[in-house]
Amino acid sequence: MLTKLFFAALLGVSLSCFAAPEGGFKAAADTAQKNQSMAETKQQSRLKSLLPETQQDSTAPQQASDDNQKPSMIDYCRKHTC
Amino acid sequence: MEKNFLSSLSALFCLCYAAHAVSAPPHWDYDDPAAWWALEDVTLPVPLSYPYAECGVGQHQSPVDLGEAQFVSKNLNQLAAEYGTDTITFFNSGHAVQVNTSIGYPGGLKVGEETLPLIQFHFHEPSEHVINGQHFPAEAHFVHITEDGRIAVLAVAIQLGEAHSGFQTVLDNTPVVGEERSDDTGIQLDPAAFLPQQDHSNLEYFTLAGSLTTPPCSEGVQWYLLADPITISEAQLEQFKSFYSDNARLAQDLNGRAILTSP
Repeated sequence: MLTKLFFAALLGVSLSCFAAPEGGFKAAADTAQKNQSMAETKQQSRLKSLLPETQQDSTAPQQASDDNQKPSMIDYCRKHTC
Repeated sequence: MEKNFLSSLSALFCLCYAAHAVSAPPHWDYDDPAAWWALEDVTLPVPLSYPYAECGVGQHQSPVDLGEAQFVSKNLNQLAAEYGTDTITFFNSGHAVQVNTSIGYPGGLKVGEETLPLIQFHFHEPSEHVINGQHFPAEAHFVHITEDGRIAVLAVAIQLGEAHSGFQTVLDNTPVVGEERSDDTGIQLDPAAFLPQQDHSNLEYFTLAGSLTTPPCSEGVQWYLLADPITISEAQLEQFKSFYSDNARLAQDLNGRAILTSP
């Protein structure tokens, strides 16, 4: 209950105090590039070593982790918002 | 006589039990997304009785706060939305306004050399992905699934601005109750109309590994966030809210995930 109240309050504050970000998701990348420009090279090499192998080598989608859902995922997502 | 009665009674009991055992998964809503993981299906034994456990224990959950993420430059696959006009189905899922493509629709998302078929797209209000806690007014999700179960979701931020004619068609035709509207409306739409006006054969995007943003929150979903937004009018947003408002999951921990972007 406390968690719920906390998140509700947090959401309320974020909605009431801030306007929607300008532009699209690009805005996040622009801000991040500014903030990260100084120590970027060093940090990125560290981050890359922390990234899972799949992220380092490919951006292709991986199989969903729940094996039981694979055969019916197309049907499921037609009937549900997934 | 008594034997027949007992046989009938036991058959009836078995039938009732079987019907109960295959009952639908637990109902969920947006009142308390943090508790999705704890929703229980009492017809199943532990741990199967917690079909949405991944919502709580998963480490690669979606959506995320992009403002908290590290962006890593990398040579990424070319991303192309190869959609086309389709006789679509308007669907009110009970959780979102949704548009289903027709069975066998050839359109899809081309990632590198592979194309993942577009199954449906739907809308959230406000956006699910946020930047430093700030939401966009809405967000569109294009859900692509291969026959072997791989999922890729293309996310587009929706800003307020010019009205969107395609979005108006969706609003005007989505059933109020959660029933699929039949195909005989004959309405045709090109899902590409819901993408930003840029070269759809070479989309600018960010990508990260994540999950479904609704139960069962399955992971292994690759997210592609388009850099540019689309717009809808304020009146359209208000009409949209008459279907669903606050149907957005809160941002989840990144747990070391970085967002990949082209140099």
